[in-house]
Amino acid sequence: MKIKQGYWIALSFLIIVVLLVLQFKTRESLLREVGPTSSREAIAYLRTLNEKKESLVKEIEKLDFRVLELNEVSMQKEDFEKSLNQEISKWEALLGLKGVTGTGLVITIIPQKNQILSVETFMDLVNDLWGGGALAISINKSRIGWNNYLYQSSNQLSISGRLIDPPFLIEVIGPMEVLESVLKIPGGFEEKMLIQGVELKVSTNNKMIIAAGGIQ
Amino acid sequence: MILFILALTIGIVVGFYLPWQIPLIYSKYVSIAIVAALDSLFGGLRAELENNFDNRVFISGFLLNAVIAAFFAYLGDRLGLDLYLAAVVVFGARIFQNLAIMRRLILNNYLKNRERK
Repeated sequence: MKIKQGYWIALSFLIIVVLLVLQFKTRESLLREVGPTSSREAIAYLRTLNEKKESLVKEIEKLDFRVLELNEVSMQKEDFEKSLNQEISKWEALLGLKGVTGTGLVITIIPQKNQILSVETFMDLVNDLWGGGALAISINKSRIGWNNYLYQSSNQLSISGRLIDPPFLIEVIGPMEVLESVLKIPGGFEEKMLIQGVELKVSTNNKMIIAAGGIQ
Repeated sequence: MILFILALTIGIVVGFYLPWQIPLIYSKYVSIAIVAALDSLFGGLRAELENNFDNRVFISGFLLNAVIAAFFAYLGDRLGLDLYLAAVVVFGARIFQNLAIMRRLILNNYLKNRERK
C-alpha cells in the first residue's frame, strides 16, 4: 500500500516537473527575446518612436495649415469664378447674346397720326434706360444689342435694317422703380413726349421675357 | 526517495525533449495550475508523513485544484479581475504551511530515531 501511495505521489511529481520544464521553456524563450539588452533597445526604440511621433504631429499641423490655406484659396477662386460668371452673363445679356427674364417695364409710344418721331428720340430713350440699369431692351420685339443700329430714312424708322412702325412697343428688363424714375425725371423722356403730344403708356411687368438678339 | 529522483529526472528529460511548447496565452493558466498541483503534492506528502494518505483524496485534489485554479485565472482575465491572485495566495500559504508541518514531522521522526539509538 505504501509503495502504491509513493507511486501516486511520484507520478504527480513527474507531471508537475514536466509542466514546470515546459513552462520554463516557454518563459525562457520569451525572456531571451526581451532581455536587459532588448529593454535598453526597447527604450531607445521608444524614444525614437516618440521623436518620430512629435515630428509627425508637427508635420500634420503644417499640413493642416496648408489644407486651410488651400481651402481659402479654393474658396476665393470659387468666389472669383462665381463673380466672373455673373459678370459674363451680365455682359451677354447687355450685348443681347442671350435671352433675359425678370421684372421690367413695357413702354408703349403712340404718336399722333402722321407724326414722325426722330431716331434721336429712341436713342435718348435707349440711353436713358441703359443708364437706369436696364439689362435688356427690345423695340417692337427687336432686341437692342451691341451691333444694332437705329436708322431713319424718309420718315421710316428701322432697327438694323428692319422697319418698325407705330405704335412702338419698348420692353425693358431691369429695376422697375429706377427705370420708371428715369423716365419721369424733369426734362426726361416722359416730359419730352408730353411736349410733343405723343401718347405714352408705361406699365410694369413682373415676368418679362426678352429673347436673344444681337449678332444672331 | 529514489522514486522522486527518478520522477524528477524523467520529468526533466521528457519536458526538455517534448517537441511542444505551452502557448504563451495559456502560460499564465498553466503556472497557476502548477502552483495548485504543488499544493496538492505537498499536501499528499504531509498526509503520507502523518500516515493518513488517501489515494482518492490526493488524485481528486491534484486534478481538481489544478483545473479550478486555471479556470479561476481564466475567469479573472475575462472579468478584468485578478482572481488568480486568490489562488496564488491560498495555495502559496498552504504550501508553506504544509512544508512547515512536514519539516516538523521529519525533524520529530529524526529526533525519535536518534533517541532510540
